[in-house]
Amino acid sequence: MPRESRDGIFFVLPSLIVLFVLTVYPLAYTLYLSFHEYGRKTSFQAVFVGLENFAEALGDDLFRTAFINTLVFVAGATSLELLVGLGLALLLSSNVRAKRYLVGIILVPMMLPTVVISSFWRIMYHTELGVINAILGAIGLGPVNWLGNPDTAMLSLILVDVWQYSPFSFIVFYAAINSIPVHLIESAKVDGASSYQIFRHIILPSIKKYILIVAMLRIIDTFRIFDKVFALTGGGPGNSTETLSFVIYKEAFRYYNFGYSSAEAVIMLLAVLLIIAAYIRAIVR
Amino acid sequence: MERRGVSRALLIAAVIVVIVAIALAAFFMAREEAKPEKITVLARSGTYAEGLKIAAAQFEAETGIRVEVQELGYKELYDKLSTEALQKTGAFDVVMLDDPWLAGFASQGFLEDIGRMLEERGLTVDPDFIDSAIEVSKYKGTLYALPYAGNVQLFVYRTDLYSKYGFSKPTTWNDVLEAAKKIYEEEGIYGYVIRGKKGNPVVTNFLPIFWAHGAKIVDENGNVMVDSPQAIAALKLFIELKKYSPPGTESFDSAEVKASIFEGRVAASIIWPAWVPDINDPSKSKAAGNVEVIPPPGAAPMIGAWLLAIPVSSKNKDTALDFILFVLSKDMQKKIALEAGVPPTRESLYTDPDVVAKYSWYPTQLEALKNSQMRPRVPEWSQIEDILANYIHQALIGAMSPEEALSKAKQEIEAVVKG
Repeated sequence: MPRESRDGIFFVLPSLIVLFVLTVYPLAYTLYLSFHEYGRKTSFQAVFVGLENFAEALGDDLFRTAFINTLVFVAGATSLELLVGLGLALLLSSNVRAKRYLVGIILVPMMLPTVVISSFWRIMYHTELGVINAILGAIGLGPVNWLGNPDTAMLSLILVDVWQYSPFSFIVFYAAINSIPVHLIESAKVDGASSYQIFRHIILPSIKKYILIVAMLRIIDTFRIFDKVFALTGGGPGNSTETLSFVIYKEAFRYYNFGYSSAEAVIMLLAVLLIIAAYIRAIVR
Repeated sequence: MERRGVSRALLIAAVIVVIVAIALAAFFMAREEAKPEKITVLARSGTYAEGLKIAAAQFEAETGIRVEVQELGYKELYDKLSTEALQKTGAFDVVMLDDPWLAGFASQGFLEDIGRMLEERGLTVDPDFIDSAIEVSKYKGTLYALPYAGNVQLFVYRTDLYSKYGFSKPTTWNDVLEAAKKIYEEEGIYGYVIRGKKGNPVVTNFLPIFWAHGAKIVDENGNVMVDSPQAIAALKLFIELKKYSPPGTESFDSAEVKASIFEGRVAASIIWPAWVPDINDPSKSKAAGNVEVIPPPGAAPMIGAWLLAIPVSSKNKDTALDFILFVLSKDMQKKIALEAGVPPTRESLYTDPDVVAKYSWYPTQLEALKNSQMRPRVPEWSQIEDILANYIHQALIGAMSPEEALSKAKQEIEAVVKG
């Protein structure tokens, strides 16, 4: 081995060790556990059961419901966050007064802890005392039983996530739009292009790759939805807001079915990988 | 040449790091030996940890042994204990537990047999401890903990509204339902409020009604009884009560229930002792002066005690027990009750003039404690609780009939228990 690469290994070794300890090992262990029964029933000894956990998980109604709920959440939250973020970015890229302050204010939700956010959204969603129903009432709508109705509970969770993370897509798009050379837009204007044409043929193509990246990051992040469920609905009403992370958490840490929950986690991981792989292929194409 | 220089520098750096590390380790080990003993307590954050800190300060002053109190929130505490139960690092000498966790941890061999430790010292459990609080500290007859906080469900109702419509103090759940209906229809105020969020809230809110009907989760022989006629009747009553509860009640947790009571919007509810001080305070509650705190109707409230236990992995078990006994002594419990507001577990303190002068509802709480029921002492309780939560919730939102919900709950609980 040439000296240079030998010294090189010395330098990357710490990060390799960290990567191994924090990522590779837990992943491998989860995979190992997923083929075993490990928990209270087996007195915390790993007993090999082959694919039994996977078969059980795929036939588990709650797991399937959680899977579908998670997909709904991912689709709803990600698409709304892209739309809201893009809208805000376009708005603030035009000549708005006090732009600098507005950008700062828009970013605030992203910086708050989710637990704090969830608790004040709980109050805002309150059917009788909450501000949202008060506003709806003022325009003659409602009252909506946000968290207590199976039809609106998931929407409620999505709205909180949209509120919290649209600023993220906003700030990326805002930066992207502002990096478009001014002369491009100016000359289009001189040529008589409408605002829509400028958006459609100049802005959108220039920020397309940012949209795709933000979408991917948000898909990965929303797939793990846990804390909002925990704080806002507890998975209810009924099973309408049970999600994958929440179900896996309960299996592992409340019921001590580590083998079974590992199998569920592996399935979830495969699903995310599949979605992301398909997505990346679609982008690259 | 230059590259060799880098390697040599790295080698020297590595040698220096190792020498420093050894020196530091030696220094700390030497200090460890010379230093007075220290024990570590893992506690639920907030009031309960405050109480322990009061005791810890005095314990250190009297014995010279430092007590470090580490605090965690409810879920984090459970997660931490679960990992410690598997890893047994010995990081904690005393741990605080919510009473339904005891069976799980005890069956895992995580907790020291405190009964035996007391016996070895020639001690017995002071009869001053409330029986129900000692019962929740046992698993299969063995004492694995001692009760620190005597928490139990209480009940509030609006005396002004009840007397206006000719109702007296409710003694059964049917009384509550009747009054709820009348007050809702005549006065336009919600007759009741359910803490209905899926999970622990809806289960604990339903259990006193369930038990008051004579229903049981498992009987003496371990049979699952959640679909008995009594259980179905109880669930039907619960669903009836929902009709007179505020909209959204199926998603309410403590904050929303509390707001409903304090805003004067409901006529009755189950509450926890921690809310009582504010309930008749006019600056905090619109219903102040018209709320009476009583033991829950049906005389079957749920106990929610907090316990102190010693992990088997602890290296200072004797000091740990010394500390627990110190905390739970009559004088210290009184001090903790008065200064931090932790409800005691000794009967005599609930009638102690100094304590009652500060907490006027304590005699009521004692009565509730004496009638209290405990959640089944089975290791799988967390899972059973989630199954019950799911089906009670399905019935509450009308997605299933009470009969169907409870029979499904029975099947799933049986699968878990017999597994």
